[in-house]
Amino acid sequence: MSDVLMDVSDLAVHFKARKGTARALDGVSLEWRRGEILGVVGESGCGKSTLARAMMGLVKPAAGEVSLNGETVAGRGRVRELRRRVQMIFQDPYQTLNPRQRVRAIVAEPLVVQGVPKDEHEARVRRAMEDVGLTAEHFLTRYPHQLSGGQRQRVAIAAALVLEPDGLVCDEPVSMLDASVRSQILAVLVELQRRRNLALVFITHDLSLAWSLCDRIAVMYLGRVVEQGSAVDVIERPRHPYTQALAAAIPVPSANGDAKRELLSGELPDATAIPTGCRFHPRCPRRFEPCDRVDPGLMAAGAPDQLAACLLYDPTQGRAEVAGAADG
Amino acid sequence: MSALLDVRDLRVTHNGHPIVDGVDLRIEPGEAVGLAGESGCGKTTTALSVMKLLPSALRQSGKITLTPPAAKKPINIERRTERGMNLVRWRHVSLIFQGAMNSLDPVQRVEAQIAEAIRLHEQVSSKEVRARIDELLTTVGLTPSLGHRYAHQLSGGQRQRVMVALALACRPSLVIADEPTTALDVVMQAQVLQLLERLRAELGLALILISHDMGVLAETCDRIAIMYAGRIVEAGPVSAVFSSPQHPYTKRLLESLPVIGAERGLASPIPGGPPDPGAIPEGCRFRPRCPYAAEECLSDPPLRELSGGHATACHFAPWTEWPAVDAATTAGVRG
Repeated sequence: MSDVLMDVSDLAVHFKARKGTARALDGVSLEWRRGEILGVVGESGCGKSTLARAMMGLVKPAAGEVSLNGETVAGRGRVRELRRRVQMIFQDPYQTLNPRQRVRAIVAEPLVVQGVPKDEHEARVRRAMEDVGLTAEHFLTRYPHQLSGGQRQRVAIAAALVLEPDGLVCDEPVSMLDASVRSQILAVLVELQRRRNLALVFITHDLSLAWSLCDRIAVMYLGRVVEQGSAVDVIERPRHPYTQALAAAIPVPSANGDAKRELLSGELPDATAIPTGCRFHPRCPRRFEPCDRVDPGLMAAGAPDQLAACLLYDPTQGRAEVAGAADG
Repeated sequence: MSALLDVRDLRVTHNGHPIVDGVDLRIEPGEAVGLAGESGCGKTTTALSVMKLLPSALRQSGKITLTPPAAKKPINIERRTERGMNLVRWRHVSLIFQGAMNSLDPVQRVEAQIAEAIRLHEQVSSKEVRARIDELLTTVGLTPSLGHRYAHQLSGGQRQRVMVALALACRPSLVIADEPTTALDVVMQAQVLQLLERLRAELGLALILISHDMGVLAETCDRIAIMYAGRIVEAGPVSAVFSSPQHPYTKRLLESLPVIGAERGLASPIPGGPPDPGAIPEGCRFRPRCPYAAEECLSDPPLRELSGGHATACHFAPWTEWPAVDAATTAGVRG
């Protein structure tokens, strides 16, 4: 088996909007490796959540494909297989649990859907509950309204784990939780990744969290991955001007954190009107002549395994960064 | 010079249980003060007390004196009636709510909402109102033409800016911002914080910034107060508190933040949770979660000043070094 769990190639997802077609995903290519924590970061509206949904087969791609363990996911049977191997948890633990089901039924539901023999249910539900740190005796008979936010998110994770998937897509799993609960949930996820070799996609707008948690990070801008690489390289030594601006906007908790920063001006353009050429060029502080015409693909920049979709790193453009990238 | 805001021994109770339990707070004109702490520690309740906006089930006591330059004499907020408060709110002190972007009226154009705030407090001509709206929108970095829009036609960052414009509509001398950037992503968060900072410099505005994000507070504030279970447990200049925290709770809060460039990994959570207002532990309130707790901690530590306005409520302060504690409670999860 290859070390790639899921391969997303040139994936596009379009939505019809009043103003035309919104290209929520506009050619995303991404490799999700076995057992790794892959961070997906970007501003709101950049397509992070659409990517998560597309990876789960919840939205139909307009172009491109998702393959799991080397096989293209297409058609109902394959999507069903996909959901056995890869599960998802969402941002809001208050909306994802059926208020009229007890925890036992919520966690067992995926087993029912996938037709797992009934006599296995109880043992697997209990194991999943144990994995997320909830005592089965105590919680299985409760209803969601009897749980705290952190407990709800644990139940959601347990339901996602009960099929023993290889991967878990987490869409902003802690952004609605309080600081102390947040670190408990993160600890549960990291522990699972380590013990079960579970691969995680971690979607977040919190760059410092992604930096501390993830193995690799993909940075999205307007429906496309504009930079990817190891978490340390991407956040500490970003190469794409967009990532550089994001990293500069992270508040620094230090005594002299008053450093003046250059902030990204303007807002994310509308996905119905993606700029020509490089999609970031209208906001880019380092744009040069062909940036409004040439749409750059991902190219080697900085560390090995680090890629940036920016003409600064295109050898044919003759910019200094190419040389810098080689020894960076 | 007297302080712009002087809060003395503020207490708020719910069914006899303390939510805020003896808070003193002084804000000078033009100063930015941060309030930090986990949710449920009383940050928002303190802010709402200053605006006298607490739900009726809560009982409030203590002295709150506001001395804005635009008022003839100090305002005793605790004695004001609801009608009397209407003359104070927005005019002298305004509040940017948590999740403010969702508190705009969905069926009123943005400019109409700003106009309403101005007209409630001042007798001004329509022409002047129009000019003020344009000026306010420009101040917060929005094109005046956006005033014609409804809330749903604006992005999250734009709505947050409209809320800032609303808070500034009557030129108050104090703005309280309760988690103003929590719902925003990093770029918009930085834009809104920079905006608040700029307005503070340009308009001489004082700011109380409530946040659980220590990074946000470090970048924006002059002074910071850390609250725990209804009390201020540490307060002082940002530089002093961040470089040399003097309360174990502050220290853990600072440690829980990822510092980019330092060692990666998840900080371990502070064990347990903050106490229920009905079951506040005897002595130091942080004692049950504190790795350094000792017998002394059974008596309640007062908030005492160590140096230059830096005060802490810990018996063992000043801490010159923090002894290593049990590995199980401090080791990073990621190992």
